[in-house]
Amino acid sequence: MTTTTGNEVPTILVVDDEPDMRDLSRMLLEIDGLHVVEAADGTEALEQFFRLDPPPSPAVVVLDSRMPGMTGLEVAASMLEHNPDQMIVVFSAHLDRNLEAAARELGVAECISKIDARRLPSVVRGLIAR
Amino acid sequence: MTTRTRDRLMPVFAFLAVAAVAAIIVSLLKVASDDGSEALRDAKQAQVRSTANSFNARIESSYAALAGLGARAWDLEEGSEADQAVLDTFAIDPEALSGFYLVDGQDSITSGVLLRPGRLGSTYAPEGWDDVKDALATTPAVVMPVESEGLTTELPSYAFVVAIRGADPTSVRGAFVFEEALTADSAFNLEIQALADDSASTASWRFVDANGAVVASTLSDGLGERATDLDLDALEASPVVLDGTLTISADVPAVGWRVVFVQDEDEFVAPLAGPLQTAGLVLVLLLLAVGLTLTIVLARRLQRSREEQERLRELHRAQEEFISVVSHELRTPVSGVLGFLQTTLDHWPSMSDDERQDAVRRAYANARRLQATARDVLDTESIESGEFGYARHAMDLVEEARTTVEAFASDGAEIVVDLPEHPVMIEADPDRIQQVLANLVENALKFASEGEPVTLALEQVGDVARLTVVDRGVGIEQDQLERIFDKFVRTRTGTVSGTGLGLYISRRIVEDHDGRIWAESDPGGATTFVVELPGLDAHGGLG
Repeated sequence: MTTTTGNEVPTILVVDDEPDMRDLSRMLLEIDGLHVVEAADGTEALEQFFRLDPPPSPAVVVLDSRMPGMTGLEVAASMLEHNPDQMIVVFSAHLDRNLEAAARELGVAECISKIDARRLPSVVRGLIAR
Repeated sequence: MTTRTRDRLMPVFAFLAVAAVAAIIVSLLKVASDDGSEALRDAKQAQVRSTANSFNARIESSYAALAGLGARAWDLEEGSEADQAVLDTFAIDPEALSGFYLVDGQDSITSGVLLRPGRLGSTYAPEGWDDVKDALATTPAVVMPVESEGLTTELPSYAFVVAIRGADPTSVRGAFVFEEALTADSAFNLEIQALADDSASTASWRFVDANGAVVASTLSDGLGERATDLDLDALEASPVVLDGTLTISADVPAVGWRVVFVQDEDEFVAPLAGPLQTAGLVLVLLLLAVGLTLTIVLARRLQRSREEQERLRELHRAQEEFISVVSHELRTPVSGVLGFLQTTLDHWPSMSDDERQDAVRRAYANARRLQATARDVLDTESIESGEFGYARHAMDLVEEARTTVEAFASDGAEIVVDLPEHPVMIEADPDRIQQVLANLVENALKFASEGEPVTLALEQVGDVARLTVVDRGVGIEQDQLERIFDKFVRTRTGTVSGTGLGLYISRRIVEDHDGRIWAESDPGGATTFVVELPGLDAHGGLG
């Protein structure tokens, strides 16, 4: 379960193999007052995920879809298997209907194209509020 | 059945077809050989038959003459001087080995020539004598079987018995018997030996009597003895091939003899089978060679076409991969540029100067990356369409290397430099050479492990300017050292992105400048890219 009670700052796990994209996500989310931890690939992401849980588990995971090694959806499947209520945002440069449908089927909460990066903070905030 | 399975089976079918044709040829040859052998046997049978017939005719005609002997007014008294006088007139051959004698109605020998001692007056009663006497009632003469010795000779011999008639033409008053000693050089035997055409051959001609004893023969021995190798009953059928031996015979009815020809079957058919077999073997071998060649050619062609298909599939895969990679390589920096600029604009008032500067710097870096990717794709397109051009002139490679290093160093990269003090002049397009240098250094920085510096060195080796870029980090497998210069190949992936075009373009640029570029990688993780370009001296220029 997400633990975002009280005045605690929610932790967001950003997973992306591109340093620039991690930095952009961090910048956007930190400006919005969120706490960001990063992972450069799927393996690292799962390590972070299990280290953060419990507590504090990441309130939201922001997940790139195309990475060397595990794909974003594979990482999402592992996390959701462990915690079906985990909020996950797929943040992809290659977002299309197929990817979105596959992600939704897995139980991913939201999908955002990297071109619409400015939407990231509001979407993440929305998920935290759920 | 899949196409591939059919392709694999095609050579097998071809080979089977050739084998089938070979089998047909062999069987046709076998038929021809059998037909030929039969014809040969028929011809030999005819020769044997004709020999027997001609001998039979001679016997029959001599019987007529012998009938005259039997019609004489013999005394048939023991010691008759008249009879002896007539007999002596027949003894014209002083070297005769056997003689003749008269036998009266009581089977007593009354007179003779060359009679052995004590035989005069003795009883003549060879085996079957009573039957012979019965036969003599209707025939002028009878031939007796071969005896191991005669009455006038100690040699094996046979005898002609001629009936001596009384007043009644069918009565038998006595007999005139003349013996023939069997010797190799008798006139009869010499006549038979003339039938043998080749002394080295296994072929033999023999006359055998009713008991199987040899009367005349082309063989050097066995005269007068039973021919143990012959089965008289089997001789009725002719020709006979038994245990590889051909036996052909014909009877001589006048005397109850048989003419027997015997030869090893293989030798007999050799004149025919030899050439046929050789021809057949040559044909079959030829066919097999042709078939084998055909099969191999077919198999190779199929193999080549499969390889070609595989290559095309590979190329297609690579192109799909390329499109996917390029689209990723374009989208990511576009997102970066937009994202950093948008963020800066959206949050301008709340961001510090440093934050704004950092965001714009990141946007700029992404724009640079976008530009580099676009350039690689466009360069590749130019190379493919043959429009990749160069503006060459004399340039200092040291200076170019320094510019490259400074560009990367300004981004915070750690590069160890080993450049000569003096200029290293080459004739080249500085922009393209800069492109190669930047690509190699950028690659090295990407793949170097954290904290491991990249080294850029330049030296003049004879007429050649040699550049080396070394990194320690993700190495390259030995079997990939050449492949990494192919289009779209990104073997040192790891966590690093790229279009897989940089080295392809670099090699093209270096080779278009008459240079060489290659990679070396040692198990310790040091990867070295070497570029050799001809110095200006080599072009006969400045130096």
